[in-house]
Amino acid sequence: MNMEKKGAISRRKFLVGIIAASGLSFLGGNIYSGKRIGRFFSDGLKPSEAEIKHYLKNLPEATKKIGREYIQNKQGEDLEEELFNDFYSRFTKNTISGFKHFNVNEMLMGIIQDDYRHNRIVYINNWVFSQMEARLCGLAFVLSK
Amino acid sequence: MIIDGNKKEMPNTVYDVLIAGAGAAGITLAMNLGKDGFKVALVESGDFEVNMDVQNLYDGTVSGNLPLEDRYLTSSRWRFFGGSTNFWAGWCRPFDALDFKEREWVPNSGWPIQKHELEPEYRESEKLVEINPFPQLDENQYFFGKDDNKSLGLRAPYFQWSPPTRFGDKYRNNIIDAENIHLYKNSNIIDFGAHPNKKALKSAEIKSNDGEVFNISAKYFILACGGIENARIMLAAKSEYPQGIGNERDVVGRYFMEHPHINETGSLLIWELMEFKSYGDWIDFRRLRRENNVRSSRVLSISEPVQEREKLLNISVELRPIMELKDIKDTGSKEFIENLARHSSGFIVNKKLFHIPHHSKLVIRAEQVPEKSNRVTLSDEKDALGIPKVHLHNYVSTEQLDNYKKSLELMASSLGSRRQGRIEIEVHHDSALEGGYHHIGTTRMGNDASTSVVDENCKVHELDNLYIAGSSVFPTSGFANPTLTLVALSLRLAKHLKTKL
Repeated sequence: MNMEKKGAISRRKFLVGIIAASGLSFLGGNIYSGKRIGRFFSDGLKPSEAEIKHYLKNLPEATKKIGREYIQNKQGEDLEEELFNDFYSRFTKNTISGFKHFNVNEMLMGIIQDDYRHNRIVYINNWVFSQMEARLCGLAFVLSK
Repeated sequence: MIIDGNKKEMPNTVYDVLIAGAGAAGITLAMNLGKDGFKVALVESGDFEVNMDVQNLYDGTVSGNLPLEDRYLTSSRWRFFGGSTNFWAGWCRPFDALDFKEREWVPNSGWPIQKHELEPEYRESEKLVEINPFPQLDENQYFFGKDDNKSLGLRAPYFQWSPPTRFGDKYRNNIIDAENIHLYKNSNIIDFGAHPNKKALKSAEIKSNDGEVFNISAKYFILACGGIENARIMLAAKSEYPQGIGNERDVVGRYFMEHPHINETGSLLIWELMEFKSYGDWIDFRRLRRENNVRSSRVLSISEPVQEREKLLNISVELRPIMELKDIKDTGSKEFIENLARHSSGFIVNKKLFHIPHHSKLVIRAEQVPEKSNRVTLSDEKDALGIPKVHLHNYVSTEQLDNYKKSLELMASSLGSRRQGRIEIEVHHDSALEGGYHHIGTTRMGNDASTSVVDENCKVHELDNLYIAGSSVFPTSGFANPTLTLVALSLRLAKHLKTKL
């Protein structure tokens, strides 16, 4: 990590961020498997864009810091749209497979595990994330701006 | 019996076996042959304590990227009774079965023997280096738990730590008390005399550290002076063999390997400490420690089937905890923390005592591809005895570093998919490479005399009675430290010689 660059976060904060970001997929009862999100998706229907964006905006600050590092080198005006469409299409692809009780947490875990199993990985400040984790973090940052 | 090469009283004896070098290999061979009554001359350059004038006979030059400094040649090995075991750390582990096999993705790989053929000698070697028997497990079956991890191939092989056994101290009396073993100290082999047909050696020409020259005759000769010095002696022995002894095909000194170490490889965050109970049950790790007082530690590696699938070199990744006490909640267990810091392996952390994720630095210790161009040659400069100094060239390619990185990515994916942790990877092409001070491959074993120096019995192809012992005969390096395997091969060589004598 280049500690000299403007706006760079400290290594310690970054580590905290990694732990928080990883919580997206499996630690995070607070975020995905908790009551708030379950309220919206428990009928197994496809979630709306607005619903998803709402929750992404409310991800922890540490996650957004990871996201900032992730998108720092990305160019393009439609970054938000690109990230979201990518995320949303993959997310919703998995929601119409007939689950009666849709569990966002499990579903995200599944996608992330699948990424890792197929070595779909992304480097953020030298740390290895799954593609889905990276996009979640990136979106959390972009949407919160 | 001790004979000082600096004195002028030499016995007029024809020995059954002359062994050059009293390190782990030489002492093992001398003890083993000696106890069966064979007359052995054990020829050692040094004395019982280090002497820097003698140590500096190792002086030479280096090029490439591992090592980077000339002093590597004088600081990575020791030239007195006991050899480099006088300073070794004691890491022991047998090579993996795959290390012995020919792998089409590793140029010049493949041993003429397979691991199972060495198992009896591995068991004997474990006793000599004072560790417990390695369980006969297929470690590839022991992934971190679940089947879904098999495709990524994470495994956690372990090392045992010898006390470490100082062969020069531990086995000194076995050598000097034996009537049929003559230890020639302060004595350096500088050349050989051959029988008229040149197919067999007759005698070794010795020069003492005081400059006295004499000959020792024997039926069989063994070079056990280490991976650099074995080649140097062979290349320098030109009076009967103009190309150097056993070097008609210009192979002696080639295919040098180290164990590349990369200390700043990245780091690992683990928060699910590997389902600790089952992990402990898996290897009976702690019971092993308690019962026999042998330390063990684990590394991360990639399973053999996945190495094969992904065309990977065999690497290990050591975890060195990054532990700042202020980050650790007061558990009232200072002793445990100190123990952790001392014994390093992150896996022995009981997660109940720590409520923070465990953060470790990663240290790669890797296999190096055997390449013909990495080699020991003789320079124009000469040492104090008039023997040409060595030049060592060894280069670890960027392709190999990329290959190591691929293994790390698989480990990262494996831990990620298991929801156990994350890995930070910082392998760059300008990574500072260090070595394990392991000198491997310069007189490699093989069936083809055009690409190897010794056969499966460690006999030099071109001669009937010259053998080589030590890691210089390894055709590939694996990631395991070489001592256990070189002791095992020495025992195997002793067994072979007994059938000839």
